[in-house]
Amino acid sequence: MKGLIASVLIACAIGAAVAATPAPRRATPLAIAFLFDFSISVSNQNTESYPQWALASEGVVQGLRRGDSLRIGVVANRLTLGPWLSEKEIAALFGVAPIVADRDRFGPTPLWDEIDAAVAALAADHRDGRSTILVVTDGRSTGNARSLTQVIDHAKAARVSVSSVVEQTLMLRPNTHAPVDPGDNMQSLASATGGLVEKDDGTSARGGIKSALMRILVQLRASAEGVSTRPER
Amino acid sequence: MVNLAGRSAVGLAAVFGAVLASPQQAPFRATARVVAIYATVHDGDGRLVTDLDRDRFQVFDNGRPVPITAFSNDIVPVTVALLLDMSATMMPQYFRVREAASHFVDVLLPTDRVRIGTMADEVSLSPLLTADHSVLKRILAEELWPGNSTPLWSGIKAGMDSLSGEAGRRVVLVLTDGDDFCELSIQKVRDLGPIQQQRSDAQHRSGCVSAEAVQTQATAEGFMIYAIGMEGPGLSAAIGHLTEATGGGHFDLASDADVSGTFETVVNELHHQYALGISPALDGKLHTLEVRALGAGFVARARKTYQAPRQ
Repeated sequence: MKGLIASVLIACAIGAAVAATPAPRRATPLAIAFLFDFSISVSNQNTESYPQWALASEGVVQGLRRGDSLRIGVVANRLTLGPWLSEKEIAALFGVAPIVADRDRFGPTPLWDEIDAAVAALAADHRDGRSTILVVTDGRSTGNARSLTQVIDHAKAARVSVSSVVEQTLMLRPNTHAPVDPGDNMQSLASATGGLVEKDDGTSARGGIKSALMRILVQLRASAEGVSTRPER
Repeated sequence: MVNLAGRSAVGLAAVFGAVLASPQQAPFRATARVVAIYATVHDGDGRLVTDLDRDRFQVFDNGRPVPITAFSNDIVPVTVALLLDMSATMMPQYFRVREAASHFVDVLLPTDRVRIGTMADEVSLSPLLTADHSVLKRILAEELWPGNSTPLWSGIKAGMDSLSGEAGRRVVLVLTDGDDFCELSIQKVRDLGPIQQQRSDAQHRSGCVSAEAVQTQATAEGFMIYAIGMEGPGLSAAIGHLTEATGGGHFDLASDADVSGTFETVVNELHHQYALGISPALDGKLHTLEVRALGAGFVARARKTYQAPRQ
C-alpha cells in the first residue's frame, strides 16, 4: 500500500498522466532489467559523456521503490548484463556511464537477441515481484538470430514484460517522412507482453527521457498491483 | 552434367580434396592444387550462354594457355552476402529496395544460401547464412532501417569476412546509390561541432576501409563481387573495377529501372556460371587470368587474377 501511495504521489509530482484507483493489495515490487542502447546510431557520441545516460539513470533510480530489484544491461553488438544490484551499488554505479568500445558500437544491434537473453536471465534468476525489461533504444534492431515473434513468445512464456523508451533519432522523426518507424516493433513487443512504450523526440515537451522512464515505472507498478490506469483527458 | 576433365568425379575429389557436386555443394573447391574460376558467358546480343562444353573454353595464366583440369556447367547453388545500402539518400527507395530484395529471395534455389546485411550508421550483417526463405524475408521485414552515410567498403569487407569460412563460390552482392562515404562522413560530421566530433572520432577509430584493401582481399581470397547502382551518383569507377576484377558484374540503374528484374538477372547469372579449374603456378606470385569462350561474339567474364601458392 505504501508503494502504491508513493507511486501515485510520484505520478502527481512529475505530472504523469495517470489516474489510479487503489486496490486492497500489498505493493508488488518490480524486478527490472534496465537495458540501455549505446550503439552509435543512438548515441552519436562518446558514451562516457552521453547526457541521455545520465538522465535515464536518474529517471530509473527515482522511479525505484522499496523491494524493487535492478540490474543493468549495455546494449551494443551484444548484451552485457550485470548482476542484481544492492542499493549502495545502484547509487554508486548510476553516477558513472559505462565505456563501450567503438568496435562494439558500429556493428549490428541485435536487439531481439539481446532482449531474449535478458528474458532468459530474468527467468533463470527470479526475484520477488513482477519481472520487467525496461529498454532505452532507437529500436533499429539488426543482426538477430531470433525474430520479434520468437522474443514475444519467450517473454510471454516467462511472464516478463518489455517496456521501452524509443529514442527518435533525427533520421526517424515524423517530419522526416521516414518510411518506417522502429517504434512500431517496440510497441508490438510491449503490447504483447504487458509493457509500455514512450517516445522521446529529443524535445522537452513531455519531460524527456527521464520523465518517460518514471512514467513507465509508475504505470508498471500500478499495473502490477492490480490497479487500473488510464490516461487523463 | 559434371565433366571433370575425363576423370571420375570421385578420383578428382581425392586429388583436390574436392567437394563433389550435390544439391548442397559446389562441384569442386579451390585448394592449393586447383584454382577455381567461375565464368559467365554472353553472346553478341548480351544473352546468357549456358550450354558450352569444356572444349569451348581457353584459360590463360600470365598470358600462356593452361589446361583446364576440372569443369562443370551444372547449375550450382550460390553462397551470397547481400548488402543493402540504407543511407539517408536511399530513404525514398526504401520500399522499392525491400520489395526487390524480397524478389531476390523468391528466385533463389532451395539450396542457395544468403546472409543479409545493411550499410548505414552501422554495418549490420545477419548472423544467419541460410537457405530458409522465411527467415530471409523476416530479416528484410524487421531489420532494414534508414540511417546516415554509406560505409560501402567497410560493408563489402564485412560481407567477405562473413563468408570467409565457406567453401566454393562466394559472392558479395551490393546494392547502393553511391560511393563510399566513410571518410567524407567523418569530415562532414566533424565540421558540425564538438559533440559531433566525438562521433566522428569514434567512427575514425572503428575504421574506414579503402577500396584498395577490399580489392586486395577480394582477389587474394577469390570472392566474386556484384554491384547494383541505384539512381543517384551511380557506381564509382572503383567498384566497377572491383566487380570486373573478381568476375562479377555491375548494373547502373535508371530511376525507372526494374530493381527486382536486376536481382533476378544476377541470380540467373550466378546459377549458370561455368566452373573451371586449373593447376596453379607454385611461385607465390599474383598471376593474371584470362578466360575465353570460343564462339562468334561470345564474351566470358571471370576473375582476372589469382594468388599462386608457394611450393
